[in-house]
Amino acid sequence: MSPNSFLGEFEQMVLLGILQEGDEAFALEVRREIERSADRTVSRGAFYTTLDRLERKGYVVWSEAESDDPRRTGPLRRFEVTPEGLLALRVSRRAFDALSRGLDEVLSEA
Amino acid sequence: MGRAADPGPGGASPEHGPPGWATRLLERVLPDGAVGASVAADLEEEFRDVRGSRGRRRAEVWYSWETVKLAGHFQWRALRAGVGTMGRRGGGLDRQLQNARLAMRHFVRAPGFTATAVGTIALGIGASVAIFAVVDAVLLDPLPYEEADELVAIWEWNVPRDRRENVANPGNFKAWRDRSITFEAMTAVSMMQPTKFTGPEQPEEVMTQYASPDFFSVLGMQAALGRTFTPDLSAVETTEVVLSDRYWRQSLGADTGILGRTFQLNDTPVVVVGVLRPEYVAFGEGTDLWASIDVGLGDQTNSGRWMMVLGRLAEGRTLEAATDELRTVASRLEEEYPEFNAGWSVNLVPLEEQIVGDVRATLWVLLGAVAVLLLIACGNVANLFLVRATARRSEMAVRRSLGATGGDLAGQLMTESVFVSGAGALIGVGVAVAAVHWVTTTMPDAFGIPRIESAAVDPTVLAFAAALTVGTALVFGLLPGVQAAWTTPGSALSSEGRGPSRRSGRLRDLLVVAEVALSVVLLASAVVLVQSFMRLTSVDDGIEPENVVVGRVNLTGDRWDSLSRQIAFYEELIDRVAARPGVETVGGITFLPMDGLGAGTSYWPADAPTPAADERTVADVRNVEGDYFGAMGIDLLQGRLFDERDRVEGTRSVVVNRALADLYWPDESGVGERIVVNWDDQTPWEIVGVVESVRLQGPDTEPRGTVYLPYASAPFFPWMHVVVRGSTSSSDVASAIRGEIAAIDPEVPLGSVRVMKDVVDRSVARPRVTGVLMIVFAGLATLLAAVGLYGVLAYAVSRRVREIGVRIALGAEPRRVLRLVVGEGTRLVAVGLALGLVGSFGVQRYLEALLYQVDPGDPRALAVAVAVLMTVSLGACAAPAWRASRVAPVEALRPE
Repeated sequence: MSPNSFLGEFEQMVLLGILQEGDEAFALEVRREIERSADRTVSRGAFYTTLDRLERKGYVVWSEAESDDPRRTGPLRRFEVTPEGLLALRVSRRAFDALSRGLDEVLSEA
Repeated sequence: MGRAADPGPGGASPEHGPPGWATRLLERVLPDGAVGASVAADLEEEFRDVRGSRGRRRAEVWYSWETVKLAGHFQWRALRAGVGTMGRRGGGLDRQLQNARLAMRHFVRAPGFTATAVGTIALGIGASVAIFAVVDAVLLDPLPYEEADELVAIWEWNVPRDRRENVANPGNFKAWRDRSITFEAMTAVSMMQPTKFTGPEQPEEVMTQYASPDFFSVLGMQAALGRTFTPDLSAVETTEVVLSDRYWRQSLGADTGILGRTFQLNDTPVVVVGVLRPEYVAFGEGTDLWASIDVGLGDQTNSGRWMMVLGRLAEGRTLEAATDELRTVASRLEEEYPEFNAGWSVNLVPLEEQIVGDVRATLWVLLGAVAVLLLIACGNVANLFLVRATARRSEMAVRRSLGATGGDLAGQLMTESVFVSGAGALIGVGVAVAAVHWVTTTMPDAFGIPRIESAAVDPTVLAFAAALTVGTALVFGLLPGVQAAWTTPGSALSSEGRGPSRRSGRLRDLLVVAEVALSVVLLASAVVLVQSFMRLTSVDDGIEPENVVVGRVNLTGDRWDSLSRQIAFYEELIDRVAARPGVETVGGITFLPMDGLGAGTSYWPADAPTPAADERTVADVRNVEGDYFGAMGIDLLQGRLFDERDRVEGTRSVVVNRALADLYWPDESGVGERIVVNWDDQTPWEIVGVVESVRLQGPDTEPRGTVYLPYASAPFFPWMHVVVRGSTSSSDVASAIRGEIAAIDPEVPLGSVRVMKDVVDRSVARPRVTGVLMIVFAGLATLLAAVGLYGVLAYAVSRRVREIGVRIALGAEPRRVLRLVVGEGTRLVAVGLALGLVGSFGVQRYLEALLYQVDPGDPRALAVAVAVLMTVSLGACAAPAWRASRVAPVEALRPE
């Protein structure tokens, strides 16, 4: 099974961020992880929209979790990447690798 | 990484949470359920972090900004995706946003419907706004003078001849001014006359008015540059002149250095003291400059009427009181100077009425016509909406079942109406702006409407357009809206939900009937106006203006103060021009026909006793030179035209027109008779010829007696309109005249070069424009009504395909089906026609003032209107009827 379309760059980052955070993949943490790793600010609106879109595509699922912070007024959402999400990431990565083949010299940083 | 539970360095207390308005906003825009709640909670958690590191105030600013960004993002997303967020929670603005979004989607999905509806409304609103811009500038905008409602035009009134607006005599003006108390001030200005202005450039002919020094201060007009006249003439060394804005810009290149400079006006030194604002100057249409002179005091001889008088009513004085007072003064003057003033009274007209009085009827009729057009457009769009609403009944019913109230659905349809009228208004106003700009900049004269050049789509007009937009949305949105509100949840499932509703069908029929009725009214009005215009233009006005070029020459100043030199100049000029190739005939006349002002005086047969002053008949007096009658195409009826015999010193020959000859010698030739022309002396003149009458004041005036005098025997005026009938182009003829003038004297200017046909056309400009506009409006109205009819029938047929199929299957002949549909359309049209005819009688009296020799209720006009509408309507019925007659019986079996 292969995904219908390639993932966008930001979608890949969000999926990778979720994988990185593992069991602690709460929305806020994922966003912070992306900001840290990619060294850029992530717009909240774009981030939540992307999560939504990935959910609609079936690449992520989420479950409600209880916060241990009593001040927190709303539920936490814990995200997980689905097997379809993983496949999509792999397909994108493969294409990426294939396209990058032989370009090490050009792409490697000095 | 664990879920941080520590409160952070700033500590957290519930009272120091994020700003309340921001959390409430978030609550409204975020999606329902866990998703929205968790997003809000995430932001709040971050807020606590920021507060801990940067302090409460900064955290609040940060949170507010982030909230606004997030809210904008989610709202935009909702609008794009078509998922209501705000709307769900029921705020007024939210619902409207949702309605707007839904409306947009509907319109995008139905481009044909949208284009038709928007285009129709744009047409109606555009026409209305353009005409209203003119009405606003001409009728509604007060005159640009201080307390303009106190200003009154004062005319002499020749009671026996019922000439109510005769120019005034200086002596009488002075008496009115000195003996009245109802006026705060009274001033006078001469009629416009050609003069030679030697400005910074070549000598040029300009149109000048001589005015009392207080003329502009009584009007309350200011100069844009410099000042107006010095009130005290004794303090002025050189005659002061004020320039019109148009002349200053067009001929003097808007040179501000012109102020204070001395030039020559008819070879007399004058100093330019000011330039007027570009506003309408009462009595001064077309005037280039005003010269300040003592009009009241210098000319006290009781002869000649040539001034226009303007008064400003004293505070608290009414027009009636002023009229009574001046009439008393006038009757005294009648006793004091019976020879001159017998039969003369005064007539006061409010200045505004004076300027726009006779275009008022025209403009209101046009505004009425566009209002009717707009109503028809609304009817059509309402029709479209009703048809579409029927098609959307299931949608509406489903939404009703899902909890939408009747109000929600009506609101939705009203929003769609507002969209259509808004889009239509945008386009319509755009077109109106362009049209008004085009008319006022390129062809203000073509309309024959004073002050039209000040028409613009200004804030008042825009406000009118906005009101129209809302009004039209209500008019065409209300019916479908109300209908939607009636929708019941069950109607989606009932069979009724799929068929045409009887109620909406009847509404649409009513709309078509109303449209047809309104079109008849408009069409009948247009037909009588056009009939009137055609009658005007087909009137035999006594001249043949084709291939005739005219230009004015004016001999003024020291060089030309001898009459013999003037006479010699014109004789030589006419001989020279006549010798040019391409020139057939050349003549000259002091006042052109149909070109406004002219001279006139009383006359009587020399062998009859001198009639009393108030029993004399008045004739127009024209001085002619060369072959004027040949050049203008005026037929000789009896006797002869002027020739060498009439140049002999002491000869007093005149040519009169048929109207004059018929009055005194109806059954015999007037040739050889003698008349007294009451001008400078009362020596009789002998009639040598009778020519055809010319309608000197325009085709809608009856010709009066006219006396033509040879210029050489009576050079009453220093100017002459050279009239050339040629076979070459008008520009060649014009340059021939110019060349020959320069050959005699390069200092003499040639002014006002025109094609005679234009002069004649201009005298019927207003009826022509009114007729053309009315035909355009009526044509559009008829077209819209036909489209409406077509829509209703086509829809009815498409809804009855099954029924028609069954009929045909059961043996109905196609012809019968055809007749069935056409009959349905004809019934609607017949009712509309009947109502329209009744309506036409109702509007007739408003048209009367605009018509020339046409009865507003002319049955032929009504017949034409009915015939046109019947034909167009039959055309509109034809296509649906044809389609119905071709329905295959099998259609009846096809599931819907």
